[in-house]
Amino acid sequence: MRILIIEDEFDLAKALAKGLKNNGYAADIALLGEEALQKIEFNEYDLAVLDLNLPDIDGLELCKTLRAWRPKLLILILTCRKRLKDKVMGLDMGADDYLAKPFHFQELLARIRALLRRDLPTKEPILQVGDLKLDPSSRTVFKGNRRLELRNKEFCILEYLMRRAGEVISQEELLEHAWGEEELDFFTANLRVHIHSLRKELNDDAQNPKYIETLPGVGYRLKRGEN
Amino acid sequence: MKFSSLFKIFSQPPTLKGKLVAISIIVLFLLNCFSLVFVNLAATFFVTRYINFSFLGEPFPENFYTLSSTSAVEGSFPTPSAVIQFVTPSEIIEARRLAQSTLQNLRVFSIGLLFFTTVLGGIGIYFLSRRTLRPLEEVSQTAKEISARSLERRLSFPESADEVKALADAFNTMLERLEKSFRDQERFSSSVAHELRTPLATMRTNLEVVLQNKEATAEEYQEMGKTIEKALSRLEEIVENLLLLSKGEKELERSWVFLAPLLEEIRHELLPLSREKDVRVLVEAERNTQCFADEALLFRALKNVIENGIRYNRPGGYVRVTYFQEEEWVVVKVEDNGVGIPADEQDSIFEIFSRGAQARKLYKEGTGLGLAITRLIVELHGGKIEVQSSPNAGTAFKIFLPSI
Ligand SMILES: Nc1ncnc2c1ncn2[C@@H]1O[C@H](COP(=O)(O)OP(=O)(O)OP(=O)(O)O)[C@@H](O)[C@H]1O
Ligand SMILES: [Mg+2]
Repeated sequence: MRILIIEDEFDLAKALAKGLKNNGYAADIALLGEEALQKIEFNEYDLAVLDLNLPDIDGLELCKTLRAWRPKLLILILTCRKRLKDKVMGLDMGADDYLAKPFHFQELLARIRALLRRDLPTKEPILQVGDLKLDPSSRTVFKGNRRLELRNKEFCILEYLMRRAGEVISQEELLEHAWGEEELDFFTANLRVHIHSLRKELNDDAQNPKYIETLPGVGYRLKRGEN
Repeated sequence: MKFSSLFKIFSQPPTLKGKLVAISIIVLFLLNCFSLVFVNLAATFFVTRYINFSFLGEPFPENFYTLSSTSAVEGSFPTPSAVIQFVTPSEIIEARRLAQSTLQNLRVFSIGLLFFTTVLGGIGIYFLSRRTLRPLEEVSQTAKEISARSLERRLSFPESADEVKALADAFNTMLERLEKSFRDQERFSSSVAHELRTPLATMRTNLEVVLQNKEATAEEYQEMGKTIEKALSRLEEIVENLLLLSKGEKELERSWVFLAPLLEEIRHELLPLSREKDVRVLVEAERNTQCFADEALLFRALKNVIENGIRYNRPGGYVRVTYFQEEEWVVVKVEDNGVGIPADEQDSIFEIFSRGAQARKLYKEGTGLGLAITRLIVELHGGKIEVQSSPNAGTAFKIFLPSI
């Protein structure tokens, strides 16, 4: 899942990006409203963390613009303003949730997870496809009773595939949602490597896949296992 | 009708209304008593005299006619010359008895009347005073209902123009002032909260992100430490400045301060900054000018303005400081040829935490408190500060300090 952090306090934004990456998200930073608009235009984000107090654009205005542009983007507002009016205004401008500064990082993570659940058919906190179980909060994956040891990117890829289980996901889409801007160097080769090691961990056979199907020239698909 | 409400008046501690009613009733009662005594005395006197005259030929006192009504003068009363009669003792006794009983009746009647008028008057006064005092009750009711959250409420008495109305007006103007200072206070604390929360959030997030990561390296801890240190210094600076802003006039430690050495010291302190920004600070010294001021605070006030001139400038620019006596003022003029201040920002630059868009880019770490502090210090000294600026050409601040 890819997140855009729109926050003018550089030290805060940096820490947020780092924390989110540690937790298996891809995260980019925009220090200004203009920058945020550009990034949103060129990249696919699942969620934006938006500070209302930006030097160039009014946060609420930006929120409205983002909402109009990207109806499916989840928006979480960060604000120093504790007044009820600001919260109500923020939500009415199209934000999905808000958090008042200073906040606990754990709470931010929990809220992000809750927001990401919204698009799923079930509101279960644990993603389940066939005998695969993925818990975003503890960042653990189980295949049956066996716990899988996944690295950050593998986890990230698997999470995205599980959220969209049964759908065909193009390589570009997977890259968009699992990689941040700074990481987009090695591109597809990198993706193949990660899919390969993910399969290995899943004990999957590329020729006769039980989990991840490769559709040459199109993308990948996670099978909705019946078992 | 409302017995209970009448009863309530007596059970409560004396209100203005209660006192008014009580005093009025007492006065009414006393007046009635006087008139009762007077009427009875007058009646006794008149009846006795009348009987004596009618039956015994005793003359009326000369002034009786002047006392009684005109009809008496015209002859409805028996005049002395008209009464020549023969009367028997039994008739006299009968007449006296009749007079006695008439007076008796009069007494009973007038006592009854006394109580009747007192009670009736009392009730009348009660309702009258209730009516006149109702606006006062409304005033106190509204005053009770107004709290910090509903300061925008006002009293309204359009119909009357009496003292109560004057009271309400005074009350309303007081509310207005209260509301304004309360709003100012609110704005102040909300912007303070905002400015304090930003570094706090930075510190907390940095800490928690590193602490949450079980595999964090020493390097990451190092970096976190540095970031937190930076945020901490910012917090300290804001708190320091806010404390300065809460200074009152009482705390000034005035002495005679020569401006030349003071400005030289400021220039010296800002030398590293002015070198870094490549902006020259020129002080046109005038040895003898001095003013009666708090040296440390004046230092602070002037430094803030000169520092701005350096920061919001371009490489190769200058800040020129001149000072001179002008009428009753010592004027310190700080001019620069920097970026200037757009017209729409000029009004707010002296307010706390207000920063220009340009300034944010040129000096990210600024707090927006500098000029607020300068203005406060200058005003505490009984002076004033003015600004003139044209964008892209430069800015001139004029600080007026009373010369004695
Ligand atoms: N000499 C100047 N030239 C251009 N703009 C100025 C100048 N002096 C003040 N300003 C404007 O006025 C604003 C308020 O100044 P002030 O000194 O109060 O705060 P600051 O400089 O932003 O921060 P700090 O409190 O750290 O000094 C600045 O942000 C800037 O926009
Ligand atoms: Mg300043």
